[in-house]
Amino acid sequence: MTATSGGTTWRLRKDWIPAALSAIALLAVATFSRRAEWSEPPRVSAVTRGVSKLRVPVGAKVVGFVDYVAAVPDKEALGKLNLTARGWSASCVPGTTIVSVAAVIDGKAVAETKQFSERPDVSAAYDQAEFLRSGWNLWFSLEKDSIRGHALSFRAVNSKGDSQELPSVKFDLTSSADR
Amino acid sequence: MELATPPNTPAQPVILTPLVRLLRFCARWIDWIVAIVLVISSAPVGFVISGAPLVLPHPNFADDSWMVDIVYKATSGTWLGRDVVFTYGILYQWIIAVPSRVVGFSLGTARQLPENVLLALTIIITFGISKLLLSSAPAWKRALFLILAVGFFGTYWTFIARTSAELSTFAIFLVCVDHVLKGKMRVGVASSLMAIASISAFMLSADTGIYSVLAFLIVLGTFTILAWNSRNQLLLVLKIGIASTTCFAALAVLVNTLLNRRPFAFQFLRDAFAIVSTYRWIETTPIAKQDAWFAACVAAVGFLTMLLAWHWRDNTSTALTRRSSFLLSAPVFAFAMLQTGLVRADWYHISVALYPIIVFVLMILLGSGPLRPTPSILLPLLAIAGSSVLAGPSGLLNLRVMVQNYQIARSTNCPSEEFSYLDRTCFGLPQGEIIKRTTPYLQEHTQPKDLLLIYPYENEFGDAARRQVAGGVLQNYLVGGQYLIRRQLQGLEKQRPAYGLYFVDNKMVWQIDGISNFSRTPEVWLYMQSHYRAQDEIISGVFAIVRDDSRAARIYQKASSLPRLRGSSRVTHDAETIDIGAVDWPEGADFLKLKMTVGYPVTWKLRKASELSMFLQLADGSVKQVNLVIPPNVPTEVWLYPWEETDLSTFLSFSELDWHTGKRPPVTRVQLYIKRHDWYSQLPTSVTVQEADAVRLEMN
Repeated sequence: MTATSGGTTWRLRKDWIPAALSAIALLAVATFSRRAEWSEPPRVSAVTRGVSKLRVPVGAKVVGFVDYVAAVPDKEALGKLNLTARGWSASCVPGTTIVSVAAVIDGKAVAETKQFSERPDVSAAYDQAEFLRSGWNLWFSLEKDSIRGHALSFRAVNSKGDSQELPSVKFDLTSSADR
Repeated sequence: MELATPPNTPAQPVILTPLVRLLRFCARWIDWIVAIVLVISSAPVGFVISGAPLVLPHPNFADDSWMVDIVYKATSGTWLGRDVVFTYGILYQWIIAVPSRVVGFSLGTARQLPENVLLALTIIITFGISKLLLSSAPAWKRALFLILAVGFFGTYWTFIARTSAELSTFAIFLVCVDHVLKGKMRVGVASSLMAIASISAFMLSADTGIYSVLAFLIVLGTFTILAWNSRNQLLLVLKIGIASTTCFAALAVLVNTLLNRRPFAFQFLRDAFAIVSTYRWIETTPIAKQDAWFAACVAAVGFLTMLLAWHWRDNTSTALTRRSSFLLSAPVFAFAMLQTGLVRADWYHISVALYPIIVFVLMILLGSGPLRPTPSILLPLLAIAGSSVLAGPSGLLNLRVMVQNYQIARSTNCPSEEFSYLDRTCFGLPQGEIIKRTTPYLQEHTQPKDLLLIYPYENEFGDAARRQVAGGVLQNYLVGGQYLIRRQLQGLEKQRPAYGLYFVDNKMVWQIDGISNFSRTPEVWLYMQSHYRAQDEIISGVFAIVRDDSRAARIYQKASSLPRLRGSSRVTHDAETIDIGAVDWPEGADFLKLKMTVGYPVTWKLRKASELSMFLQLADGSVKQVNLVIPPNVPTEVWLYPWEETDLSTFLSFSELDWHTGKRPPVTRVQLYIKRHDWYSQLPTSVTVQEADAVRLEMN
């Protein structure tokens, strides 16, 4: 196509097709795109389901998890182990809160905490603002002999008295006790 | 492919002439037109003319404060790099303060208009980059590049402007060296331009300066490799290197002389290095799993595209982006710039760190030089498709937003009663109430020339009252390492602000990255405690403090040694708890002070420090967790307050009787929990406690 006027000839250059197609594509994207802006963090997908939103199991009254358990031989008291445990626990019964988390050996509480800290990761993962103050730490000392051959577990209790043994990461205290 | 019709086609009517001319003009200048339209359409004309307030539903007094405060400082002649140390430099400060100097300072204008200026700056710099690196491409491709780069990925303007500047230094270096080697530019001219670009980068921000040095080394390294077989070319590269380094040194001396009147003190360069050197241990955060996946995919596709482009490189092409020099240096520079997002790995930083990869890929797709018809159609479409897969168009490409920018009839009221109005800003409650209460208090109790001490970082409160905030470092959370501590304390001691505000850590005051403000900068807190006393609690947790120099001579630290905490432990695995030891806590002690060294292998300098948390077991069975930032391999005094951080305010009381109050069960054991933030974190190898004391503050 040539347009001539007063001796001026304008010939469309050979790249008008990609330019026009690009303009159309860009306009279409700008008009119809429903993708989030670049400032929005990526959404959790199947690939990253390890961190996807979690659901409280149906009928559960108390939920939680023991994230970490470690035992360190006491430097000064031979035969003793200093144990550290960390985790979270939340009550699913409306209007109630977790009142205590206890470390239990053979059904007997050997340590207990009633203090809870903020766990924004937990409340975000479950999308439950009530789960914010769910973090707990337990510190206690035990005789090494009380560990060998015995099972250590953790139990959370809510203000209505519902209790639940908390699932836990794998931990092995026997090797620490044998050190 | 020639699409023009044969010459014997009948002439079109004369009436088409203006249209044809217009189309021809537009086709020729479309890149300029797009750049100008983007700048104009994003201008906040409606906000400026209407006088409407800026609405901030969730005020962030950490980040908002630095922006508002550097604007306020600029309007009153206090400059970054000369009077105050900050991440950003004098050039950045000058640029973002221009609108407030024109239309007048208010919290609203100082918060909103810098964003608009930085967006305009991003557009202009990106346009400049396209002119440099896509110079042989038709104008429409540069326009498309600008729209895709800024319109889809140019969010977070405060940061992306800086990244664009870093990319522009790379582009300038590449083009200058390329032109010299092709005989199109003299060595002297190229070296001068490169030195100006680099010194400007340092004056923009510390990071930008460091990245410009990196770009310089990468570009020179690339050309050295490519010119290895040609002695003349190698000599030219060497000449450019020496000449531009000399020019840079001369400019640095000049800038030092102008800023500090001491030509060889190099203070602003030392400040820049001090700020950047803390980055890998003071600002580390973990990467979220989904962000890591997404970033890895984008980076992998980006680098694969660059690899394919390398395969199809053409050193005879007129397009710089087809040649080896670009295709070798760009991926290296983009890879290096990923550091920004790997160290402080929230999405904000990751998205910005990916920007260079995206920009270079867009350049490869759009700057391919003359091609056959099919790829010439497909590559731009691929650029559009790729961009739209990653992100939706931002407000910059939204006609409704553009129109809103020019909407002059706006409400001058806050949207609801959930807001508190002050100084052209609607602050969301409850934070809005705090600033509204402190402002008249400060105005009433201080003179306009009075300086303020703000602890920990809410400088905006001083600006709201039109009072200067004192200190050698802009905000306390940046004070890491001996150099910056010294700068901050020297600034405070020199300026001796008569009044101040002390914000106690509570729900309203962020502990940045969950780190207690006291444990982050104990030196500054101790300075404040020994030179100021509380005068009023203006609102819960916010104290007006007044200078009382008599305290410095009367307050002393009474230390009781805790020898059982001394010792060294090896760190053998991730998520390890190190038992520092049991404590015989002396009655009445206030603080636990540990002089300790966290040993890292040298590789931490390429990675980032691990997460450190001190756990203080108390006699009542409770545990206090204190997250820490400790410089690697440097013996450091770590101060810990074992109880409620809010009780720290009592130490500002004029009477010592108030200091040691509250529930204070003794500390019985101390443990340190060490965990890598993520795969990029470096695990320490050892932890050594050289000294341990329980400290009681007393006053004569």
